Amino acid sequence: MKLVRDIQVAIRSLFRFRTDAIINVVGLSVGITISIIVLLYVRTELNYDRHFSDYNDIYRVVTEGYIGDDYFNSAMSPVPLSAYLKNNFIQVDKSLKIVRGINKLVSYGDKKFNEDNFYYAGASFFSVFDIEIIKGEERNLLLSAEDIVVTQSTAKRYFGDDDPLGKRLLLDNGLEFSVKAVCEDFKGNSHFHCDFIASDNAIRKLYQWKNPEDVEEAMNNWLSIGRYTYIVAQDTVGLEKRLNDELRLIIETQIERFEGVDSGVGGGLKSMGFRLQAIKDIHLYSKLENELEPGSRYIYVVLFLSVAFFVLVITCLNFINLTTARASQRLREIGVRKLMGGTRNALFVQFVVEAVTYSFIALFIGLVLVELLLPGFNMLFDLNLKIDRQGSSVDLIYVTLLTFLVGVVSGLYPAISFSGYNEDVIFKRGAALGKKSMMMRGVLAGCQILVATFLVIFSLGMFWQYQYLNHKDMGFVSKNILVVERGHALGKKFSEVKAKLKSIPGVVSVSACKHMIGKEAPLQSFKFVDKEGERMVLLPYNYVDKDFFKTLQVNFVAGTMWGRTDQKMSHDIVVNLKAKEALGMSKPLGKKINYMDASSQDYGFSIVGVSKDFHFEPVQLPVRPLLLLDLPKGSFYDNLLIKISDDASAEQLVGEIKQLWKANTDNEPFEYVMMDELLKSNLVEEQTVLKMIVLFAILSLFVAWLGIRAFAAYVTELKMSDFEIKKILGASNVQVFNELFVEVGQFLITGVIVSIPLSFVVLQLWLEGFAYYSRIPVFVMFAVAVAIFGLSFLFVLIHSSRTIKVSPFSKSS
Amino acid sequence: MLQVKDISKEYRNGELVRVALSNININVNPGDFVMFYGPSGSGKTCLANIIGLLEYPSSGDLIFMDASVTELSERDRLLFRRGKIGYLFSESRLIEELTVYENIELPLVYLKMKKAERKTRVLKVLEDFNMLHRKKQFPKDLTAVQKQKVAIARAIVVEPSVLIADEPTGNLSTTEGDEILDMLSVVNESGITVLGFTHSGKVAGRGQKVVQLIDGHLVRENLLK
Repeated sequence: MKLVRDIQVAIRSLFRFRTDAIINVVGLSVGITISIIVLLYVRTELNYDRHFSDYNDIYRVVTEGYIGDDYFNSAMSPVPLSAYLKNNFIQVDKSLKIVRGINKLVSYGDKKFNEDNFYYAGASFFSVFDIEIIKGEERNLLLSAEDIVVTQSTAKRYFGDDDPLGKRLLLDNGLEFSVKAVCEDFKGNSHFHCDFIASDNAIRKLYQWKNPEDVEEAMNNWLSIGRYTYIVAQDTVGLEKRLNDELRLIIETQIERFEGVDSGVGGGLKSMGFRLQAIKDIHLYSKLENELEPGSRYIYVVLFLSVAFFVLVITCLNFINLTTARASQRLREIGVRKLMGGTRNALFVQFVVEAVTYSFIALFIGLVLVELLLPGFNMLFDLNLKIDRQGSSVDLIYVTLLTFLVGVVSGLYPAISFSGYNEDVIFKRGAALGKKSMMMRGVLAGCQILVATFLVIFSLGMFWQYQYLNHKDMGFVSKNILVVERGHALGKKFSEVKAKLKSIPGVVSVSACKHMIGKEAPLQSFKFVDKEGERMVLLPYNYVDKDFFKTLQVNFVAGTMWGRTDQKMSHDIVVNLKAKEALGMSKPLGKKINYMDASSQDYGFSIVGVSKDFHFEPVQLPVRPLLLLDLPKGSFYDNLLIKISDDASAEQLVGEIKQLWKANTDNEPFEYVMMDELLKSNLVEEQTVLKMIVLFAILSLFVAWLGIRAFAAYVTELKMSDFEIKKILGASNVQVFNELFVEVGQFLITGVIVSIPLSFVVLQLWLEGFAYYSRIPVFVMFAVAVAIFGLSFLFVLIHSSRTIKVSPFSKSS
Repeated sequence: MLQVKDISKEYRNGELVRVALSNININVNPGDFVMFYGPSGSGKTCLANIIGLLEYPSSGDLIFMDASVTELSERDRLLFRRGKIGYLFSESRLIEELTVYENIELPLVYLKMKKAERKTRVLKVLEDFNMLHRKKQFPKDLTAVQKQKVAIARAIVVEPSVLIADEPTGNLSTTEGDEILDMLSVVNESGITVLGFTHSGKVAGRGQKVVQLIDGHLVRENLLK
């Protein structure tokens, strides 16, 4: 009964001190809302791939090594590795190799879609990754070369409500599959997402034109790093070492064969080894070449976790501040309760119950807010957070416990401090506040303004860098370039279509490339001879059409583009300035470079041109050396680059281009993107984090406002008697306010000043993760600090001016 | 110098109306030592605040040095009060963080007086009150009567025309109270009009003129001396 009475009193006091109560509850709800959302985000990030039952035992085998003096790493591994692990290592329970079929055109009747998430996988796929099979047989999947499993949403997309089982899907590379089963969609927090899982036995069919020996050799080539290998192993002690020891000889033998019997390993691929990577670590820790999907950074988890923790702690402290700042209003009540026989314990419980009541009201508002804000939050930040409905009872227990804890922590200090007053002290001396806690409160308010200023400067710094990258001179003109994907659909008609495209009025130039500009370029080992003899280097490369530089408006510093013959691959090569430096060539024109393709055919090239450097990869990365080659016979470009003039109507041109496309392909889907947009999409992660930091900066300003308000209220209360007498002695309201602000401001200015070097250092650390950066000028940091200090002046003014304006005696009258 | 004409004061709290003062009329001449005497709740503090320009009356007129000050804005009242009215309360209300010297100097600071002049004035008052040796002490180091002396010094350092003393001996023993009343007499003799407010008949007897208040009404205006 006493508890019910305490809750009643808490609710009545909430209504009696409405303004403070609203601020208290709103502060708490915002704190709880933000914490829940951030914790959801952090949980999602930390739980990547943990929905697979064997997540603790699943490892990806990744490759690293040296080519010449160049270190390389890759998320991929050699084709024969998976089988080798399964056959030779008793502790490997399961092994699996998968490979992605990038940008596949999949058709079912008239329906045709370009698919990015098309994977070829071994039969053990569903035993390694236990994704539920919703329809179809669960055993012996992916054994036959025609087997394919599709996800639920893919099945819906292709077959609607029809039964997908047994339906035939056709690929643009000629392969045909029969749907054997439908699995559930991949969870959002997986390090890769499949829409199709086709049997990797089908890949052999692609080599049918070669003789069986060559196919066998390709499948046993340890130097062809072309698969993602996963294993399930409970005991991995010594596995890595044994694997590397055993394979060293095999790999060295193949390297020798590749290099020529006498050249040894020294000149080219020096070494290659393998490392096990736990799949639960891939999303946050893996930074390798050829990742299936971009991962995140652990630093962001730490950052957001700190924000959640900070928000909760500050919320509690603000609650304490606001509650105790109005002490005089409560002390009389305590005095009376004590006079009437109330014990300290009873009062202690009363204040804790009051705080817990406030927290639960805040929790209710918070949960409603989470429910309302989560979809918007997901959309704004391109996330997929959700409240775990299945385990919501567990979530609710956590959240309730958290709220209870917040309530208890918030109520503890007021409870201890209020219940400790003696009634005689309260009545004799009036409701006086102690001065000793002023320092603590001041430091707290200072810390809040410090964090707010830090976040504002940091977010401005991020925005500055984002804008810098967004507007950075890429070294080529990306404006008005239309990128048509899946250019290979044109097949041998490329030259013909190119000529027709060029004849469309408004089309300035047409070209093509194999690997998209703005994406990470693939690496290839090249051999060349310099003063020290034959050397092997690992360099980014691309196959481009001869109008590539003209379309991108990149100039040559020496030489020119190759003269193209349509019959065979040109033996000329163009390098960029960085490549010229990396190869140590003072006069590169005419120098020879060799490389061997997957079919072990050796190509010799001679350098005919040196281009200026340009950002052919994401702008966050440094400009690397680049080798540009003509397209080998039998290959097709993947991306058409169509430059249109400024005054042409893009819409109309797209219509015409589309018509041309449809006429020259087998009515295949026409998908295009503007290169500007494509380059912008490289900054999505920075944009998301920036948005979140801006949000937190705004929230921290709100929290700081609460903190300053509480502190100003406390100082006003503490100094009210002094202010009254000063006003009687002739001080004007402005003079009294100034004195109040000096009291409050000394803590705030310290926080603001400290925030500047702190922001500078953290910003610098963040910026150093970019190859190119521009730091926000220091004077802007100062300007922000001054503005926030000015804002805090305004906060104090708004809050305290009314109290100060009141005639000194009107209250007592 | 001070005329209180038909001053009334009402406090409203929703529909509740409490009359604190009702049609008060008083004339105070320069150099008077008037004691307002009445029991608790008679309206003394309210009248002190109205005469001291800390509160507005509900009706009536207040004439200070031949000028009506009733309708002055808050700001004009402040400007008028500065240097013309000194205040003394039952509690000394010294500022704990300031020394004796700084407490006395405070009203001069608000008058924006130059430092040298402030110093001359403060030191003179301290000397007159025989407290020069205490100028660097903080209020916590003083006895109640010493604090009240500093409060008087602070009130008269601006050389006001009027000193309003609301229960100036309220927190003191009889002996200490007498000491303070003696000082008020000295202040009055120096030419400052003193308006005292007390519930004690004995204290009221120290005034040249006694005005008695009961339940907000002026009961008697008596020239004792």
